[in-house]
Amino acid sequence: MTLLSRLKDIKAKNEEPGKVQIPQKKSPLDLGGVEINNSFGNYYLIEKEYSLANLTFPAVSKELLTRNLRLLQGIGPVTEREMREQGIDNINQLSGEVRWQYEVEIVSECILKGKIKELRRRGACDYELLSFFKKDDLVFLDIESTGLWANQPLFLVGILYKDGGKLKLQQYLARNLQEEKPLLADLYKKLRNFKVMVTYNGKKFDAPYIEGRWVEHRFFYRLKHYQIDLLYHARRHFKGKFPNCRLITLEEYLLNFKREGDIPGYLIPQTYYKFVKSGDPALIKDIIRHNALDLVSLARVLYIVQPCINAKDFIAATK
Amino acid sequence: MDAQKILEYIRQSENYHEQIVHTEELPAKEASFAELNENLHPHLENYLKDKGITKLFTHQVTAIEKVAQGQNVVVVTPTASGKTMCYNLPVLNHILNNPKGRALYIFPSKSLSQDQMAAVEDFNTEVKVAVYDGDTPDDLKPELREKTSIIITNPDMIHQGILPNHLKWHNFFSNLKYIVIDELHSYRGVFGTHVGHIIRRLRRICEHYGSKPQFIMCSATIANPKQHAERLTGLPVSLIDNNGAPQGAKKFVLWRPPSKRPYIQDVIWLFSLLIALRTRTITFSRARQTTERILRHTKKLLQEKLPHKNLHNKVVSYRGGYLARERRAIEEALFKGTVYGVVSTNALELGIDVGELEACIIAGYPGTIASTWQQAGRVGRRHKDSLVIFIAVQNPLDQYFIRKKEALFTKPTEQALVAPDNPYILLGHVLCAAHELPIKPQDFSLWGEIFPDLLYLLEEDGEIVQSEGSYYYIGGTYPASRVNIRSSSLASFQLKDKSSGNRLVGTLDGHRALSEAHPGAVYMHQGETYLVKDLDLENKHCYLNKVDVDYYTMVKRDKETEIIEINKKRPLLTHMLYSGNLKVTTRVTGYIKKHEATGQVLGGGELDLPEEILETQGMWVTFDPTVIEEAKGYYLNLMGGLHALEHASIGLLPLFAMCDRNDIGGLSIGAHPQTGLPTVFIHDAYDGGVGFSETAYSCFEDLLEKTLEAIKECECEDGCPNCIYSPKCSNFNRPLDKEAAIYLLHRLLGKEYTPRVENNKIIINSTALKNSLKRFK
Ligand SMILES: [Zn+2]
Ligand SMILES: [Zn+2]
Repeated sequence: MTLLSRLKDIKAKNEEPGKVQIPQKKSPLDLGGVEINNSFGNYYLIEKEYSLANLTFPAVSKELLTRNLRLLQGIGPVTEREMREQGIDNINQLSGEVRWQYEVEIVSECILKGKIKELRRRGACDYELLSFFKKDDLVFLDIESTGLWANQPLFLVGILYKDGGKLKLQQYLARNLQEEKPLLADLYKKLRNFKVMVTYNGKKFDAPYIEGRWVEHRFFYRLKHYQIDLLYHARRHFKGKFPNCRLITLEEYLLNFKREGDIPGYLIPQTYYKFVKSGDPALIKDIIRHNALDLVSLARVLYIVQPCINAKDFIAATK
Repeated sequence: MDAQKILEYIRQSENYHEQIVHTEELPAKEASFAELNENLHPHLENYLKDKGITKLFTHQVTAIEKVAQGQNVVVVTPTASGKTMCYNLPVLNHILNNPKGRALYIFPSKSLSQDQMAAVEDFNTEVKVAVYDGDTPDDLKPELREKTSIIITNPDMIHQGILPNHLKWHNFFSNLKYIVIDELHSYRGVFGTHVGHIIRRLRRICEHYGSKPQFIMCSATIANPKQHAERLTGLPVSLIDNNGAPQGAKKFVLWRPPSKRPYIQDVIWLFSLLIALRTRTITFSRARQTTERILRHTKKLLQEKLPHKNLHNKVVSYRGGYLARERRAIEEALFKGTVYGVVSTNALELGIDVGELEACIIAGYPGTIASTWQQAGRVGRRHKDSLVIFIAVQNPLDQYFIRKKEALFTKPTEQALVAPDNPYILLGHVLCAAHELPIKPQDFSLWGEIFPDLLYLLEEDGEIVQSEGSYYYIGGTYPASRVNIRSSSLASFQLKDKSSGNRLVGTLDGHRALSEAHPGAVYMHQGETYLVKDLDLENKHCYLNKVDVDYYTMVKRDKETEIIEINKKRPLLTHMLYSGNLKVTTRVTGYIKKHEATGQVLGGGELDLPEEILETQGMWVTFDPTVIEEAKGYYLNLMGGLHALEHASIGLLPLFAMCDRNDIGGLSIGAHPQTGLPTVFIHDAYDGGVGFSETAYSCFEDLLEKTLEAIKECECEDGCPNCIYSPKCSNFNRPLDKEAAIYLLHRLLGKEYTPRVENNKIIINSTALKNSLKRFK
């Protein structure tokens, strides 16, 4: 059918009397959460608790940083190897040498004052830098959106963090897209409580997406968290060893866990819109479950991929 | 240079055979100045002082003041009248006083962008300016978005790169104060319609960030600059046309080459002669090949005739794709006198800026009056006297200007058209807009009535969803990459050059591919000639080889036109005129090769290609049935007359609507199945139409008058390329009957037709009839 004839049909249909669609009445939604109000409107919040055992936060000491010789400008892999062969494995051992004295002072000060950005610039890895943080600083985050570009709204933000002796899951849900703005406003307030954000592909996707949504709703907030993107680490360690580096693959190979009946990512936008139209809770429950599983796996994978300075040894150790 | 003496010299030459049909004397014009009400920023005042500009021209002052009042403006002035000041001064003045302010400059091509950046930099202010286009390195982009006050770009980049990423541009959009659009007249037809939608998308994004930019636009002289600017932006626009720039005297010569000699010989002769007289000359030709041929033969002629003057080394060609630096070098060489002559293709009429040129040869009508004047405006800047020679080639338009001597020098009738309501073109932009920002009911007013219907249609297709009154994009692909703003349909063919490793040379509208790029076709693209090797219909690829051949190809088509809907109708004396929607079904069945110079058929072939359907706008005229008997009585071939009328009127339509033959199609038929009458159709060659045929409907009488003149006054006997032949006729120009067309035009216009009578006998004018009578003898 050609475009013009389709448009003609549409015009005729719209002009037909009594064809106005009356929106279906939706029954109140029960997903085990509560409705939250703020000055921008309402949204829905679901909370759940897990045992803290799921979060194996690596205890890292700052010692580790002083053992990274390459933090000194001028030391590359070759020099490092030579030094290690000579028995030098701590930067403090170089503080007496004229050549390195100044560099050692700078790095030591960075470690002392927690100048994370500078250390990162010098090549400190996420794992070493975790030594500046406590378990309470950490937030795991995963979003579900209606598209691939931040121009398209998001509707679910799941976060997982340590809350006293428990691991707490919070899922911020927009039951329709009018609820996105109030959701985003509260999300900012919540995220301010944390210093480290752990995600899977969040550096490229989740974080800029949230910031993009804040721009669209003209909050212009920025995420200032220290970002740990586990996809980056997983790729470094497991590329070529596993069929791919998707989170569910990691679950299978590292956590011996296989998801059943999980909704595939590409179906999420249309499923959400179906939910908005019909109000059928089953539709959104699938997405909520998917989001929660992602977060719990993230927390479990953190320990596994994070400390692997040598991934091979680690896989051996987990088997 | 003394133009008068040069013309005398030409007239005395042995090559001169009364080719000059008219010389228009364009008198010198004094400058007119005005004073600004308010001072500009001191930096700008000083800049002008340093440049020796103590007063501004009237149009510049009007522009600055209207912009200061918050109006959108379109400035219409000739080439070299200082129009860039009309936007650079208000923009820089604003940003110097409000450093956060931003401006967006839009130019149709990349080379113009570079020139304009240089022009802004010349002011030597603190204001940061940058070109942001497909060539901008990714790592520079964030800095440019944040810190640049004036961004110079093109419509393609806004469509594909900037609008879909507006979240990254929020600072720029929040502070956007001015949008400058130069060469406004070039945004017409399909491309212009796309640009109109891009501008509306841009306005919507600005509104989202709380800014309401003003538009400052510049256009060449066309019939409808204000209307065009308003349709393109969707906003009220104030017209500024009080040009105050001075002009030197100009002699504008209309030149008709002898009928039996290729026009290019005259071009080469005149060009060589002007160079021999040490006159700095630019020659504009219509195609790259012609440019190269003119260059080659001019060099040869100069070397033969004046071997020791070394003049043959003082001619260069000037082509598309030259970098700003290369163009500067040519300009400088002209200035210094190391080069006297430049040959250029039409495509470059905008790019070159040479103040020192004295003569201009326009070898063939460049397609629009606006372009003709842009070319003529390249010579005789400011106070200098200059010479322009317009050489007509064999086609109805060129001949029209030769015959109608005043047509080029009076107010132009050509209109720039856009079709904001074409659903085919709008459809893709609805998706793009929904992707950029959810569409809310208050956005509907930016577009026409058809907009909500398209939303509904896209919702049915699952491309967008509606939720609480807003429409959201849901697809997983980047919609901007699906919309080709140089074409009307979503499906366009990619042209790939086999001779350079399948490099993408361009795209071709799906509807044109079958008839212009079938296997064996000679295809022209941006002045280059290619031979089509293969047409991959499934993947929409067309493989070409760059060649230099001396023939062109024409296709034979079976064509049917079905009337879908009549939108408007009016009687034309006893005939009827209609405008509406048509369904045009065509099938390309074969092609022939024709020798370029002689027109001789060199061969051809059959083609087996699928049928194609075009849904478009059209206009048609049904004749009073009495013409059938009457034509018989005059021994005329009615079918040949309808066909000739169709060709000739389509050939002249560009005088009213800026378009070329490829933009329009036609069909004539003795008894159309739906009308039952002799009918001539003229239709747009794009899905949904762009308004060309609608213009033909509204100015049909005028078009017919010009058509009648063109046919009647043509000196040929049975028709020729100057009157009724069409280079793209799908029936290879058969049947055609010139006298029958003259008769039909008399009937349409209510003029009394007198058959040609000799010795009290009606002369049999119809070629077809003559031929059949011959057979009986
Ligand atoms: Zn003729
Ligand atoms: Zn024809």
